[in-house]
Amino acid sequence: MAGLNAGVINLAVVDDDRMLLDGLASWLAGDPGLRLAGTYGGVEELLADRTPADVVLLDLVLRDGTDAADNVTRLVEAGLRVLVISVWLNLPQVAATFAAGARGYLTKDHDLPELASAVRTVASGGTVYSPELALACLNDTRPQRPRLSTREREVLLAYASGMTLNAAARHVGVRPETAKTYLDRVKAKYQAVGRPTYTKDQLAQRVREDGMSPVIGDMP
Amino acid sequence: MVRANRFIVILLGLQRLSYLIPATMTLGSAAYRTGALNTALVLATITANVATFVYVVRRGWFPQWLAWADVGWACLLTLLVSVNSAGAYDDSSVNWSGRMAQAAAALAGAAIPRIAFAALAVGALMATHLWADVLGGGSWPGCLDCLNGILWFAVIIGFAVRYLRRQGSELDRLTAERLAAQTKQAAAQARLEHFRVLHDTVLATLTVIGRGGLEHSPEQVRERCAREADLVRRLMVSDEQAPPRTLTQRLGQVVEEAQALGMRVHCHFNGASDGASDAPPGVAEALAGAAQEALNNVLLHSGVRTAWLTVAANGDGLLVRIVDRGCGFEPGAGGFGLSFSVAERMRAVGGTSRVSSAPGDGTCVELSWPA
Repeated sequence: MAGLNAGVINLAVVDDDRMLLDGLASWLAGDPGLRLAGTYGGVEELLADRTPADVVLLDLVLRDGTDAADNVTRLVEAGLRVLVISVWLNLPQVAATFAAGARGYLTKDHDLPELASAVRTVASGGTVYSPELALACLNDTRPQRPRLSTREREVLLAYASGMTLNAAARHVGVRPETAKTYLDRVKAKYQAVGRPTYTKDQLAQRVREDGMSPVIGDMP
Repeated sequence: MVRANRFIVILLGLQRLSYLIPATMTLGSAAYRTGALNTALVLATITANVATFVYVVRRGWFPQWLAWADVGWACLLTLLVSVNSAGAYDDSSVNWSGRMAQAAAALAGAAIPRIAFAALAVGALMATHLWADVLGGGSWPGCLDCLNGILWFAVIIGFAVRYLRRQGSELDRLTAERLAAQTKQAAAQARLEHFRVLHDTVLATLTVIGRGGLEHSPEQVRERCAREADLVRRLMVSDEQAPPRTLTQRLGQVVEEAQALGMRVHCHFNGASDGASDAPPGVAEALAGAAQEALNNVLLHSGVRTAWLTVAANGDGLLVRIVDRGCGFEPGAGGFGLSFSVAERMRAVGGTSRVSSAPGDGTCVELSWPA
């Protein structure tokens, strides 16, 4: 299959906006390094198709009413790397998808070069820390959110303000490698709370610390 | 409140009716020194009472002067009827003035708001009654019985009115609160509905068009734009209230102006929606002015046309950042004029500013308020 050529990234897109899918297809035609392997209206459809995809672009709000974090979990369990996209930034949902193992989040208004660069980062196993994702982590109010250190929050805030890694490091007063370490720690903390091994006891303690009502019956 | 008043008016009216009916029985009675005087008094009392209640039912409640007038008339009746009834004492069917004094006391208790004044009116009724009985050489048990009635009617009705009104206004308050909550909820629901509709339609379409790549299907784009323009028109008709000018709105305006100059500004105000709406107008103005200045500098000096504008909560205060990923500069090298005018604006409202930049590494202007 031509799509499995070395250096070409296979992209699967789960989105129910026909016009976006059309636009994306004609766009990707202009980038020889990216190949649109398939477009799907829902996660179920993609999983049934068994198309080899290096990166899945997943719309945060699907009209089939499925939960964004659940969708990410299912794709990640199938061994796929997920980049979440949406037209409108819904902070708690974005944070939940990050905890569920998404490799990043972008709003759909980014230019093709930005999207392409994000896809390449994800394909090579990296995480895309967009300002929007940083903002979602900073403003996460879900009871199961991880506890972030002051430094981690400072770097996230710099990121959320649109700074690059270098600029964020300079603004906070650390070296770029250190800033990167903080971001990696944020990701590790998020994925730790997103894992099903997160016990009820840990969660209950977290809830107590936050002074929130201890309703944890439906938590994993 | 209205219901409580109506109830008390009816109660007092029925009380008077129960006293006036026996009084009419005395018409033509031979028990009086001057029968004609009694007839005149009875008719005058009935006329005054009918007029009073017609007036009060129309108006909803007794004006205070009416209560005083009623007390005055009752005092006059007490003296005249007692003297005229010559030895027929209180509580008898002949001397009907005692009952009217009790009715006047009940009205005073209800319609004179200040308790001290109401007590004064009741005291006047009791004193007059005592005086009339002394003049007539009346029997003490009957006299005390009538005084007792005057006192307790005033107390009971006075208490009932105040209690019912308190309950009523409490009920009115709760009803108003519930109504306000329902209205607010309905408004929020409508907003959410608008939001959802816009998300699925206009926002999705504009986002896709903004990104390009649709040149092959102009007809589809045109059709969809036309449909959604209609939708927006409909929403605008149904959403007429303009909210007050907050920091968020001022910054929105600044961003619009920058966009009109060809800039692309990513805005995130989510971090401090409460703080941003609470900032004093002077502070909002200063922050917006400084942000505009910073965006102008991005346009003039950074070499890029994309900037980020974020508002975040900073403890109890606000943190506004204007960031670009352009060419940057060596801080302290001067030549920007940026630090001065931005810093000046911020200092004037008790805030601070900070610029961080490095050659080739973008610029961040940070505005904090309070300092």
